[in-house]
Amino acid sequence: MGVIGYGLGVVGAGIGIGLAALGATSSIARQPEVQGRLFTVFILASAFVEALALIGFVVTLIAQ
Amino acid sequence: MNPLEKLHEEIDGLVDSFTSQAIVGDIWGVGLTQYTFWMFVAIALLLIVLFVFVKKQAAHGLVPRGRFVNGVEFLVEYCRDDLCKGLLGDTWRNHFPFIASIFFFILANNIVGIIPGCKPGTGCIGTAGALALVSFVYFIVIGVRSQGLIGYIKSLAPEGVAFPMNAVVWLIEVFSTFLRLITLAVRLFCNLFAGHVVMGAFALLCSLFFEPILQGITPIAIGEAGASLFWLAILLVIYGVEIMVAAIQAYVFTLLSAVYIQIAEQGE
Amino acid sequence: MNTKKLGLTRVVAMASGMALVATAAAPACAFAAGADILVPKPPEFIPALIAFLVIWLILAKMAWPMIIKTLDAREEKIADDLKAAEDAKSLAVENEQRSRESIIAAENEAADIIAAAKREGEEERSRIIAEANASAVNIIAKARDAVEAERKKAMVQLSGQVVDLSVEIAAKIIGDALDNEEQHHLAEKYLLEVGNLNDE
Repeated sequence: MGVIGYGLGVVGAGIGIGLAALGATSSIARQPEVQGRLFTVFILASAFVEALALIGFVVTLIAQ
Repeated sequence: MNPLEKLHEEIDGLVDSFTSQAIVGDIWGVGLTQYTFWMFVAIALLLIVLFVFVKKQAAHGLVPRGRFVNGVEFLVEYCRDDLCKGLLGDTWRNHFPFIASIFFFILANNIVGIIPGCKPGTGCIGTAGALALVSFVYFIVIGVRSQGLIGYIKSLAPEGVAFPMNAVVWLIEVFSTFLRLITLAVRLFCNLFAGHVVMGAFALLCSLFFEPILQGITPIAIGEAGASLFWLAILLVIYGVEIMVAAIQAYVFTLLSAVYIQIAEQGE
Repeated sequence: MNTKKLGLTRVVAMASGMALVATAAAPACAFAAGADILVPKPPEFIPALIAFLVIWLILAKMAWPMIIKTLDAREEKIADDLKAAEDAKSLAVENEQRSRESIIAAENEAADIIAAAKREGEEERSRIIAEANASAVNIIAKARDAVEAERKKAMVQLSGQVVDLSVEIAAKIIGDALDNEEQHHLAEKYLLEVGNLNDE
């Protein structure tokens, strides 16, 4: 059960990172010269979302 | 299938190996765990690198030569321009030592963890918690210094909102301020801990699927060896991701610390 | 920076003391089996805390000030060099402007001088020619006058000689019948006629 819960949590993280990637690619398509700064922002946003998914992973390990 | 039967207990063993174990002494009293040992290794490495850099910079004068000096300077300038000057404005010189120390400390620990066989010093909640605690106390002290104790406590409530809503929002803000301590620590710890556990799990799968072929060459064994290569490929990808995560987590921790310091100083 | 660091260290030591008490009390509470992972353990927490504070102190005293000073010195030098280059460039542009202006003025002056010289030369030439012409005319007039005078003198001389010669011839032709006065009077009458013919 814990693993199913973690799987559902990862769905949220996947959607979050996908949205960040959507924002990043459409912004780069609009203005390619700010690509460096946009890539940094994308990685930053992904790090925050990833943290939540990994908290879920650790909680799964705890609950075993 | 043979490999997958042994998987569960092996994974348990893996997670156990990643939890803090005392090398010397006792886990709840006085002792030394494997994470603390690797943290000291990372600290030694960091001090050596930085002092060699300072000496070389003093020797060369104003124009940097050589890859080592240029590389470390790139990191220092990145820290100064992106993290301090960009966020903190005029007071960045006061906070630069703290921000740079945090950045280089976490970076050194994470990078040491990437080397096969070494563990990251920040991979245990003790170290991550200590860093988060220092950052938390630092930005609260900065807030109190710049606005006075009562002023800082009051500044957590937004202006222009009527009384009852004011108090509720203030309560939520206090809670979220204390939550920053926990999220900083847990974000850093979870990224490193879980990342290495996942890498270990894929390495485990790779070796478990490779074992049958050592016992005898049968078609199933060959198929499993092929799957083992597949796990190896994923392991390499995750290894690359872990290298990126090492740098990114150091950057995120430092960035958030700088943002909290800025919020505390300007009294939002 | 020093007092700030000391005050901070005191506060952090206090906070870590509280955290230590909390973690020491942790095993007494009831946690799920694996939640041990998320609880900071003293053998890790305290060395990490102390190690980070020591590192922070060491780097803030010995490493960062020098590094920042070098980076600042470099920025300043670049800015100064750029500014000096800018100043030198604007000075050079000014100098070039000024020199070009003076060259143009010099050229103008030179053209003026040449024009004036040419004009004066022309005037001088025409003056000399006029003078030469005038003196030539003078000389010719003088020469003519001299020639006239000479002619008249020659005419007078000639007429005297013609008188004497004609008297001699007439005396020879007529015989010595006439005496000198009548001869003279006759000769002058004939000379007058000849002179009238000559004058016509």
